[in-house]
Amino acid sequence: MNMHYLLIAVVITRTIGDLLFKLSVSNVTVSSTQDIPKMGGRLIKHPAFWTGLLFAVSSAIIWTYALDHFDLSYAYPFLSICFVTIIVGGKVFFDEHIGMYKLVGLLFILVGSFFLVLG
Amino acid sequence: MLFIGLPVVLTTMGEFILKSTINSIDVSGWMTQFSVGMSTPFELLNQIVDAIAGFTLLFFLNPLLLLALGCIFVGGLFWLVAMSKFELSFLYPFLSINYVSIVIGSQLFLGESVSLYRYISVVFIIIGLIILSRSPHSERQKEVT
Repeated sequence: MNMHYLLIAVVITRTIGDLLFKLSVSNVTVSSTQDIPKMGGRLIKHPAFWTGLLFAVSSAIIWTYALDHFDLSYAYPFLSICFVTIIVGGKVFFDEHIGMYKLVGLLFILVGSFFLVLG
Repeated sequence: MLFIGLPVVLTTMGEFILKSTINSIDVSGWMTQFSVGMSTPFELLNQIVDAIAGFTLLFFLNPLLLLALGCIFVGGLFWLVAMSKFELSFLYPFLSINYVSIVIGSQLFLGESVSLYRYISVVFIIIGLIILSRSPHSERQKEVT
């Protein structure tokens, strides 16, 4: 049975979690260390933070389950696909700019993942 | 440099503890108690919830799993501290140390057979990360440069 759906589930949950964390700190600027408690106070009131945490924890649990089926030297590099999904997510949901460097960097990571799945 | 070194060491250590612990547990044997069979949709949903709860219970029966996730989590916190202190373009390449140490460590300590393809893949990922780190990391920085 192909268990890759486990690794893909880790990538998806981690991406959603990170995007929600980004959402929960958007419009917050930390200019000095004195701002950190204020920021923490805002975070725990933000539903996106708690949803993000839920996804991050699920991601860790699925990751542990996936490690039962895959070599660490295969599964860990596989998660580099998160760089691709998160940067694309940043473009779609936060209108972040994808320049030449990001595009070429992502391409290299995709080629790397291709070699990984190949062997 | 402590804030860059600690995340690398903690996450690598955490992943090794996680993998070696899960290797020593008979996960599929444990999970047969919560096996999911075809039945009415409600029963199926019930069994899936049972299976998730059953697997989560493993973490509390094997504290090493919790310790490993704790290492990875604390490593992530130190990484956040590092991000507030250094430029992202300087930090990103350090992420690639993780890939090298985990792949080589898996071969040396966990006895995994690492094919040439995996090494080639890691080389590509590292090149990709280094190129990524050259990109302006926020609109704010782009205006300055």
